[in-house]
Amino acid sequence: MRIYLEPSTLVKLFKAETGSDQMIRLVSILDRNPKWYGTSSRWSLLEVARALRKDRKTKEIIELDLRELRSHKISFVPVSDKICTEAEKIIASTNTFAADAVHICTYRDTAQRSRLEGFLCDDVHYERFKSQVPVKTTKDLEL
Amino acid sequence: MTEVTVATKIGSEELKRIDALVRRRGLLNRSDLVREAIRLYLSLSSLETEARLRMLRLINESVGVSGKTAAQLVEESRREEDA
Repeated sequence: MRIYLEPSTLVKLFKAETGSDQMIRLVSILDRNPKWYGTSSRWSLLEVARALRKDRKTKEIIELDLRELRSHKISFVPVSDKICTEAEKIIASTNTFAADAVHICTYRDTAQRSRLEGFLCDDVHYERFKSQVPVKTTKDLEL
Repeated sequence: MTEVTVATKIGSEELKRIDALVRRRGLLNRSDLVREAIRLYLSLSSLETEARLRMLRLINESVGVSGKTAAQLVEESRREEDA
């Protein structure tokens, strides 16, 4: 499985909730099985940090969590000019949050090159992304 | 065993918390606490991915919890940007 990780799935690593165990298992597989591949936008780290802050985590815990995230075999793709330009077009033509547009465009930019098979997001965001990218949820993962 | 001295800077607030912890846990001194913290950190870091992530999740859950899901937290952050 080669997959894009939307930030709400990454935040699940640090919260005991539905899909959290699957995410921990997924990251563990990414670390040890070279046939599996995980990627996300560099922007996701900021979104994870903000989400953790809103979850009332301390500075030390947030830094620890981000260090942990960076230590795994997840490739964080920089937000390039090309991605921003494409995101601008989506924002101008649809009612899309800037962050959502960045994720959609990062996925599109890397999908072919990295042979991605899906865009992993939570149930809440499923509807929003399903017309733009091949969405999967943690329930679709065969771990 | 070779002993090495490592120096680091600690803020005054952290130092107060360290001293309080040394008293509460009955440690010998600040160095004793630092040694214990290093051992704990090394133990945590050497765990297999799955075990380490579960430990870290446990730590996260004990520090501060908003009662919101990951999806809700990310959604709120995006709405902030939008506002």
